Amino acid sequence: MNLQPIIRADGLCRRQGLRWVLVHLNFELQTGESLLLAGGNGAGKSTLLRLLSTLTPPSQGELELFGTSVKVNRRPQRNRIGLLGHTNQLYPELTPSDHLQLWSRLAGMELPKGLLDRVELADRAHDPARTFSAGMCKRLALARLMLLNPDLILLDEPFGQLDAQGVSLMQEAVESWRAQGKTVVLATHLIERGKPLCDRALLLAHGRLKWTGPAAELSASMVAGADS
Amino acid sequence: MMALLHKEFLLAWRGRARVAASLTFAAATLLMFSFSAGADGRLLQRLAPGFLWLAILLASTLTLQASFDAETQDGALDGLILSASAASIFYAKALTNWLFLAALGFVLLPLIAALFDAQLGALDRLMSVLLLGTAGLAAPGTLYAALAGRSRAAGLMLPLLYFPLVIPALVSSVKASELAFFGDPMNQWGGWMSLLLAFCLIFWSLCGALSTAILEDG
Repeated sequence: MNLQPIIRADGLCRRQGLRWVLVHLNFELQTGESLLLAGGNGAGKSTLLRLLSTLTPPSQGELELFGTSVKVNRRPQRNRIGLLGHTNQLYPELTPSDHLQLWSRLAGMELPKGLLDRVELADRAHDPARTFSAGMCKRLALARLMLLNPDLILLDEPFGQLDAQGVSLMQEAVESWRAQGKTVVLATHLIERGKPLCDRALLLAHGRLKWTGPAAELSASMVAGADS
Repeated sequence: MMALLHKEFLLAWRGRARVAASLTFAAATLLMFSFSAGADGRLLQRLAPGFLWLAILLASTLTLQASFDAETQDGALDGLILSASAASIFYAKALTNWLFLAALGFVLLPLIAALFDAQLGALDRLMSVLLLGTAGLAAPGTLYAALAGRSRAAGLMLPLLYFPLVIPALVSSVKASELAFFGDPMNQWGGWMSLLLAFCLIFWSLCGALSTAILEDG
């Protein structure tokens, strides 16, 4: 395994209005590692993912992705990052087929065949996304990550809104990325689902790092205790 | 850039009910203006160029705001920013908005002729003014729509920011349209068009440069 850190956070802070939502975070993630971000509501998981995606700049501290500071030039980093956030990043009026064509053309790549089959949306390829259920929208957003196959994959509550079939589809996708040596950061409050998919865990509470260690050692009581 | 333009046209086509709404709004505005001016034929004719541009300006707020609604409804802008530069996202939107506003202006011309009893005069000049004037509205309007789209009060913010900024473009467009409608004995049309062109060049460059800060650092 290549041991170059893909993420290096040093004193990372983020302020929203007058409130500090992330306070002095220090951690590193090596290429090919997968990290479980755990914590209760408002712990700062989603904010940290947005910082790691470069969509939100840090208020203080240093964040390096792929060995380069996010303050320098984020374009080359962004081409290597995939984010599945709280929103699915879809256009309600466009169809899955339109979306895949747009994403592949933006990435300058050929559209692989059978992608919609893999996320079980082939029969709805020409229906607008506004007619889809939340779970179907999430599967289409997953197809985007499968298509772009970025080096750093950021997943915010990836199992939310998905049915059992969708959850196993998501788990298979994460396992496949890990097998390819991709780096995955997965934020979820369903830690029992996230633990088998991650090497390490990072527990946040009120924007602060409370605990870090092997994902297998994280327990629900630790998450509950961190919040109190 | 071509992929982004294709996406913008596709969104405009799939959301054509919104396009129809902008057109209906502009036509209704002209109708109200014509009634408010009364039955004086000469006065109606004199007011036609100003009312044409007011109708385009008011309808443009709907178009501009709608162009970013699609990006913010389900966070599509986040995905776009990871895949494309902010400047290319901005220019694709601004170009689409420009083409739509220019088309809106062309469609309103026969209505202006009918409601305000206006002779369309030098049609080639009038079309040039419409092309350049709507370009002057499209670039700052698109930038401010992006800015307002990040605010919860987008509908309120956009006119507040956008109307004061486009006054020079609007005044130049109205003056150049008047000269195209009623004749240009003093050869002033070229001067107003130059002013409009300068406004467009400055704002298309400036807004493209500012788009990175507005779209990326959310």
